Amino acid sequence: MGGVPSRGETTTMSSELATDPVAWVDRHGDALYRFAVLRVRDRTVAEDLVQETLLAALQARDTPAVVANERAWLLGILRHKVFDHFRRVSRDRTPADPPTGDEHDGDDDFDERGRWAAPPARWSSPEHALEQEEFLNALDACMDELPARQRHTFVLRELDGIASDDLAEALGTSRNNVFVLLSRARQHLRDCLELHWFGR
Amino acid sequence: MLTCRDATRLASEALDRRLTLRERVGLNVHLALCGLCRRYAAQIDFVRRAVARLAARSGDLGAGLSAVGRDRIRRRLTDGRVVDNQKPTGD
Repeated sequence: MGGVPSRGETTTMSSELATDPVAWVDRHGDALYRFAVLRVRDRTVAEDLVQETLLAALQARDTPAVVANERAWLLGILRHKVFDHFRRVSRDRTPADPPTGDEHDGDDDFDERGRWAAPPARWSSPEHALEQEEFLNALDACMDELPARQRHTFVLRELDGIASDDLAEALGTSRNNVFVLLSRARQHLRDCLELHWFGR
Repeated sequence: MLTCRDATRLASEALDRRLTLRERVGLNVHLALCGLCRRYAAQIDFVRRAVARLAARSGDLGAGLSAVGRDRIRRRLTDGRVVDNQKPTGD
């Protein structure tokens, strides 16, 4: 990263600046960016989504008087932009990335009779881990390692609470496959945390 | 009797939808008898809470738009305001 200039205090001089879209960048740009990058996990894509969001807000600016909470209003628009982004990328899939690819059951933690082959270990004081920055960093890194389709599905489900029917429609797949993707994502994250945190 | 693979799958689905009565009974019977699956179910529930914590924290982090991105967005917003719906010219 590097070279981040000190932004200092955001200067809001008068109330008429309150609806100045360019001021949105200073007031909300970083918060919008953090919201987006947590979900899409790519700096460039996140910045593009922030730009799209502010441009969309600009188009909708006939109604500034009804915006009680500017930040929440912009985050609402951004949430839709993120959702559309995932919809777009999951429908742009090439045949080389078949929709059933994630359903493959060969690489999981069970033997051919469905018994544990790699049983889960006992974790020591997970509740304590929740309070630690380094643990959350490890979880963040584990999210990066999820296969893209699992990650998109998991993010929309866990961070935005999208229901499985809506996920299936948006991602162009079956509801059952959504459950498989979510189950796989949880399994991956569990395994990853055990490997990189609890098993150290 | 459910296999452990089936039980872990159902334990995950229970986080996403309401299980049928038959599924709930099957899962509960399995979990009552299987400590490993009980542990797994508790751990994926923990993963859910940990991800929620991660999301709550991300709002407090210092990370933000790059200087270049910030300038670009400012310019686009200024253009958008002047030109309104017209697309900006190439250069």
